[in-house]
Amino acid sequence: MKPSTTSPYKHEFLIDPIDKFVRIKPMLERVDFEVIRKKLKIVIIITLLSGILVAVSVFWPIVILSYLAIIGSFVTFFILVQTLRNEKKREEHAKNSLSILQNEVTRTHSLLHDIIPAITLLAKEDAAIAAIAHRSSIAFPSENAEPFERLRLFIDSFEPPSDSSIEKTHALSTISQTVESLQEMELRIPFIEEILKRVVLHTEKAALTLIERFSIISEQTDKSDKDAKNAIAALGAGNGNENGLESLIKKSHETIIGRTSVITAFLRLNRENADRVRKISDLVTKSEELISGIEDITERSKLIAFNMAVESAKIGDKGLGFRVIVHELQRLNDQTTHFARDIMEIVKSFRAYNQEMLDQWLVKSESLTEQVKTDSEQAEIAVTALKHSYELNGTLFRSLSDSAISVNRSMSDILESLQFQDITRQQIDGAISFLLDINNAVATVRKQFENLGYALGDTHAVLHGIRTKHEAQLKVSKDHDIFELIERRYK
Amino acid sequence: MTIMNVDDSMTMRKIVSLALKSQGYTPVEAENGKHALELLPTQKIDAIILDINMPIMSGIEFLQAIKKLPAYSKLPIVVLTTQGEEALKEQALGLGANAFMIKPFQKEDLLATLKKITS
Repeated sequence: MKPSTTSPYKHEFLIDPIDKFVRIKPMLERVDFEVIRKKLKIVIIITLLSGILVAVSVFWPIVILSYLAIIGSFVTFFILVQTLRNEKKREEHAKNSLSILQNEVTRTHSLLHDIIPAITLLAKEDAAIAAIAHRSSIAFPSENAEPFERLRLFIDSFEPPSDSSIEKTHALSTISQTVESLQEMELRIPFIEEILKRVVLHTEKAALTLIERFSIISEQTDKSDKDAKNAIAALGAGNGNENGLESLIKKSHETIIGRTSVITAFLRLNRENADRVRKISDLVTKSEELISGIEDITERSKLIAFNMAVESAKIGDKGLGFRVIVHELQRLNDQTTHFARDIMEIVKSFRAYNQEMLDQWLVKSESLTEQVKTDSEQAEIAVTALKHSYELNGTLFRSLSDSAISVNRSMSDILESLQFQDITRQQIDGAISFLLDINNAVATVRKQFENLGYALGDTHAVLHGIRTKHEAQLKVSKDHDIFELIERRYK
Repeated sequence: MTIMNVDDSMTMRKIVSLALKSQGYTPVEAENGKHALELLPTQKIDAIILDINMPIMSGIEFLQAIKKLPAYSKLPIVVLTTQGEEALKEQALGLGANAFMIKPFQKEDLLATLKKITS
C-alpha cells in the first residue's frame, strides 16, 4: 500500500502490515523437526555401519576406529535428542508467544481503526495539528529508517525460515528490525502524546482567554447597546414621545417662531401706540390752543365786564343789581383765567411728561424688541443646532446599537467556533488515551516479537542497544523547535 | 432565574454561562453529575443544562439519580451533548429530560429552548 501524503501519521502502514502479519502467523509456527530427524537417521546409520565393521573386521585399527565411530554416534545421538527436546520447548514457547502476539496484534489493529478517524480529524481541523503535520518529520523521520516503512517492508518480504541457516539468520535479522521498528514506535508515541497534550493545554488556555475577553466585550457592548437605546428613547426619536428631546426641540422651534411673530406684532403695536401717543400730544397741543382761546375769551369778558361796570355806574342806583352781576362776572373771569392758567400748566406738564415718556418708551421698547429679536434669532440658531446635534446623536446611537448587535452576532459565531475547537480538543484527549493504549499494545507486540526472536534462536545481541540509540535520536528531536513553534502559535 | 450548567469541559461551561448571562440568567457551573447533585441543595435552581459524556457521573446517571429525588425531579432539563444518536436521545428524554440539543449549539437556539421549557 502506498503511504498517504495527506496524513502525517501514516496509519495505513500499521493496518496493512498487521493484517499481513496475522496471515503469515501459521508459517512462523513451523519448527524444523525434519532436519533433526534427518540428522538422527544419519547418526543411526553411522552407528549400525560401525557395529558391522566391529563384528566382521579383524584388522585392529579398523576395529578401534569403528568403536570410536560408535561412541561418536552415541554422543551425537544424545546431542540430537537434547536438540529435539530444546526444539520442542522452543516450539511451545513460540506457540504461546504467537498466540499472545495474535491477540495483541488484533487489539492494536482494532485500536488503530478507532484512532484513525480521530487523527484524520485532528490533522484536518486543528491548526496546531496542521503545524505538527508540517513538521511531521520530527515525530516520523522520512529517512530510510522510518519504522513503519521498515515494518511494512519486512512483512512484505518475510518468508518463513527453512532449514537453511542463512534463511534462519535472515528471518532473525528481519525480526530484530521489526523489534527495532516497534521500539521506535514506542518511543515516538509518547512524543506525539506530549505534543498533543501541549496542543490541548494551549488550545484550552487560548479558548478560555478568548471567552474571558469576549465576556468583557459582550458586557460592554450590551451596556453600550442599552445606553444607546436609552439615549434614543430619551431623544424620543420616531416614537412619538411627547417628552422626548425631538418633541421638545420641535416645540422649542415652534415656540421661537411663535415668539418671533409675537415680537413682530408687538413691534407693530408699539409703533401704532407711538402714533397714538403722538396723536394724544397733538390733542394736548390743541388743548393748549383751546385753553389759550379760553384766556382770550376771558380777557374779552373782562373787557366786557369793565364796560358793563362803567355803564352800570352811569345809570346810578338802577344799575346796582347789574353791578352785582358785573362783579360776579369779573370774579368768574378771574377764576376762569386762574383755572385756565392752572389747566395750561397741567397740560404743559402732561405734554412734557408724555413726550418724555414717549421718547423713553420708544427707545426702550425698540431696544427691548431688538434684544428679544436677537435673542429669538440666537435661540432659533441654538435650537437648529440642537436639532442637528440631536439628529447626529440619534444616528450615532442607532449606529452604536447596530454595532453592538453586530458585535454580539460576531461573538456568537466565535462562540460556535470555540465549541468546535473544544469538541476537537476533547477528541484529542480521546486520541491521547487511544495513543496510550496503542503504545501499550505496541510494547506488548514488541516483547512478543522479541520472544519470537529468542524462540527462533536469536543470540539476543542484536536486540540490545537499539533503544539507547533511538532515545538519543529522539532527545535531539525533542529539543527541536516544534515546541517553540507551538508556543509562538498560541501567544 | 438561575440555571445550572453541568459539563466537564471548562471551555464549554464558560461558553454556556456567557450565553446565559447575555439573556440575564444567573449561571451556576458543575463539573459532572455528582458535583451537580451536591450543588442542588445549596441554592434555588430553575433549570439545568446537562452534558452526557462526563467522568465520575455521566448525564444519564445524573438523570437517573435526580428522578429519584422528589424535590428536584420536576426541574426542567436540557441535554446538551456532542452525541446525537437517536437511541441516546430517546433514553435521555425517557429519563425526564425536557429537551435534547447537540453541540455545537447556537446561542439563540439554546436560549429559546430554555425559555420554552421554563415557561
